[in-house]
Amino acid sequence: MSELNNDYNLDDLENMSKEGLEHFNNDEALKNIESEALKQIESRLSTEVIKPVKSNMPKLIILLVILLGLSFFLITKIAGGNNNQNLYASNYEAPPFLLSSTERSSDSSVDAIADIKNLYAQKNYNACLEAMTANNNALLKENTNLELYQAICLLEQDNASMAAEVLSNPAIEIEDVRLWYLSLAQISKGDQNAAKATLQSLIDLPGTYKEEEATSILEKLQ
Amino acid sequence: MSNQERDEIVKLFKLYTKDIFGVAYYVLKDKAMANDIIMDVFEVLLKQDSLDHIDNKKAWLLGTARFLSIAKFKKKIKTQYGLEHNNIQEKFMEIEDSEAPIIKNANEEQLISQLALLKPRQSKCVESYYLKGLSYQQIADKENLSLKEVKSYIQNGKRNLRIKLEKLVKL
Repeated sequence: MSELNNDYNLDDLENMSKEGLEHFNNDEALKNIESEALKQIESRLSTEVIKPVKSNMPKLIILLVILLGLSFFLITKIAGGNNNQNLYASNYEAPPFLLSSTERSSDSSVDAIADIKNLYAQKNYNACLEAMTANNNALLKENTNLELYQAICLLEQDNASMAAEVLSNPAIEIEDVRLWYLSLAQISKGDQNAAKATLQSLIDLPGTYKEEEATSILEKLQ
Repeated sequence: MSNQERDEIVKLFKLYTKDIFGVAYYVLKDKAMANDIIMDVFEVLLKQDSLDHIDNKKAWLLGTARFLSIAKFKKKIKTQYGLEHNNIQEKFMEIEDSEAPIIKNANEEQLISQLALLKPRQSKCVESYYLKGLSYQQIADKENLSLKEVKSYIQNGKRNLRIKLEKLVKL
């Protein structure tokens, strides 16, 4: 609007006004218009809230506080993320493959499990996963405990979300090992509350696997 | 708004309400609409963060009045004549003369805003003749003018409209 206001100088505007008033040519009506307008303006101003003199200072202070808050949040988040990673990294190691190739398996799957065991020993986790999930997960369906190693392979591949999903299956019979790796997967994916609950369940088991480490991690998380 | 600013606004309107009305009436040629413009200018002034940045307050008030009046005039013309695109140009083109090419080339917005800025009688006669389609005699009767005056206002009005539009195109 200011550009439009400035494209005529004051002389032009005054001349325009003068001609407008000449054209209107009614002094009496003009006086009424003026007094009515002033009344309206004074009435309108009396309802207008008095505001303090504007300064940019409060805006700057608010901006500064927001920036500080944001920085604090980011630093805490990054530091928190690193803590989770450290907790996970310092406590995680792939356990030896303890599942017997003949354990409750049909003859046809004995060889397959033996192959998986070899691949696992060679730390070829990708091939392990492929072998486990071959034939529409036939091996996994037959050997529920194999899911524990499937989850460990997923953890080795940094796929904590999928690992946590697999480890959430209570049908895996090695309960304390399942809970231990589930808590590590949950820490890894940043779900601290779930990890705390899982660690607590693990600690509550009698004579549990990794009880000491679980207690220590739980303390750190709290 | 501080008390000091309130006092200043009242002072400004005591000084310049008449001039604001004059500018608005020049453009709108209508008492009620020009009266509304006074309050419209006041509302725009109220929305300013501060009056300090307005160097020449009279020029600001009259310039704002002019701007708001032209906007109102455009709205009035469009509502009154139910204009579609180029309709207004077509109405001007119905009478062929030397002003036709520049009017044909101007867009509708430019044409209406420059029509608003013609001297009041010229603007009124041009509008009545081209847009309302009134005859010279009908305009003369309505505006209380002689036939000769009506012809003169229309002729000069259309020439001035061409000159204003040419300046606008050059800008």
